[in-house]
Amino acid sequence: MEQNLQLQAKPVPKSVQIKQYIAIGLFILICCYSVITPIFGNIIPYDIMESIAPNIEIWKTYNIFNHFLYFLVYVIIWGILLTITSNKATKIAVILYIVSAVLELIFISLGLLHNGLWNVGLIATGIAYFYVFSTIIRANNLSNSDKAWLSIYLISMVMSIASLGRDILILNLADDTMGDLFEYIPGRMASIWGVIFSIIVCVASIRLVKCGAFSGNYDSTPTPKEVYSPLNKHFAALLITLVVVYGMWSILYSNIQTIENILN
Amino acid sequence: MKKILFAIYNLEKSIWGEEINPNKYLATATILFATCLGAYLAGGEYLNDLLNWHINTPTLTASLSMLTVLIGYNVTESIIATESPKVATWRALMMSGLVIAGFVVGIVVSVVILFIITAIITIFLLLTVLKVMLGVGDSDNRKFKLDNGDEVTEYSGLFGDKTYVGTLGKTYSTDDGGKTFSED
Repeated sequence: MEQNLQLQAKPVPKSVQIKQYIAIGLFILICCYSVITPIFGNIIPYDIMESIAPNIEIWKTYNIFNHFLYFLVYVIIWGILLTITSNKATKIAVILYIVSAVLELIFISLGLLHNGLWNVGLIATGIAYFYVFSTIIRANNLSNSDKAWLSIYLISMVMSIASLGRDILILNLADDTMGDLFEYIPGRMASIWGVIFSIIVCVASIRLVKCGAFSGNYDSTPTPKEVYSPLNKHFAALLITLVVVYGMWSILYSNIQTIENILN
Repeated sequence: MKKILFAIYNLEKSIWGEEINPNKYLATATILFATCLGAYLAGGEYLNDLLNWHINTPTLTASLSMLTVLIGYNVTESIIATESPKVATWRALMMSGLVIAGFVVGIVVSVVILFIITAIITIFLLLTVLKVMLGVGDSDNRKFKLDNGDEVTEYSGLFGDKTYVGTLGKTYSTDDGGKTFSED
């Protein structure tokens, strides 16, 4: 608690504050885009998208476009954050984030060749992002409230890894008769939840930029080695949640006909 | 408003105190969303059955799949937000219970509300039909006895305009609220 008070006592320089506000503005911009798209549809019209890449399935073109847009904005944001980190561990985490973002874009492009690469690549980069946020949380003396908000990022990564894994494990194994039932899973309610969660993530991103990790007061004292270790409770949370969620899904999908008969 | 929004957070804090540090909004958001999910599923099914509509509701499997996702959010948060495995386990179980409870409440409440609304509409329509059939409605109208022996009934129009009809089919009009009548 004393350390928190010390951190807050240091005034954030004016130049750092300006960078923080630019990063927050970009985060809000990307949040608005991710809220608008599921509600009002894609901003770029279907015809234009199809004319760019006529040989590729249209959802893939949209997906690559969105990923490219996110990539550009996130690299700018994290590039700004890189200049205002408060210690070495945070700096390394931010560099890892940017490297993962580049890798993600490469995997997405390779996904055009094979669907499997797409999902596997996203899972791998998802785990890298998870490590980044885990390191930022553990390497800084954050207030309880900041920690609670930053854990939203970890939760979001866990659930996206879980759903990508489901696509590989279950959807690829499912036979065609199940197809209709799965159609509804990424349906309207799931996208409404996506919108709600995007807003929560937007608040979390404001807290991320304003927290002690990006206050600009660079602390050159070496960070303890344990901070870099992935053997921590965040990774335990990732593994346990995956086990729990896959357990529930496998029970659910193996009894799919019985469950559907309840309503009919 | 804040009290309702932070109800789950306050409950957790009162049980585990300093041992837990969860997000204030996520738990409430997941439970409320589970309720909406239940309401959407059950309400849609109810209206589809009742009115032969075709609302595109998610299947039961899809809803349950979404529910497991919501539980997943809470399981992760439980482990991240607590220091001891015991508290994490109990918190995860409690939140899973609350999410499922929210889903069930959504199902029950939507069906009950839709049932009450349809019941009220049905009863109202039945009463109106009965009134017309039995001619009960006439008894509410004011009646006047005229000096020429005719009995006049007052009928109210849709926009508050009044017409006065005698027993012999003659229509009357009045300028002073029924004290004196003149034949049209």
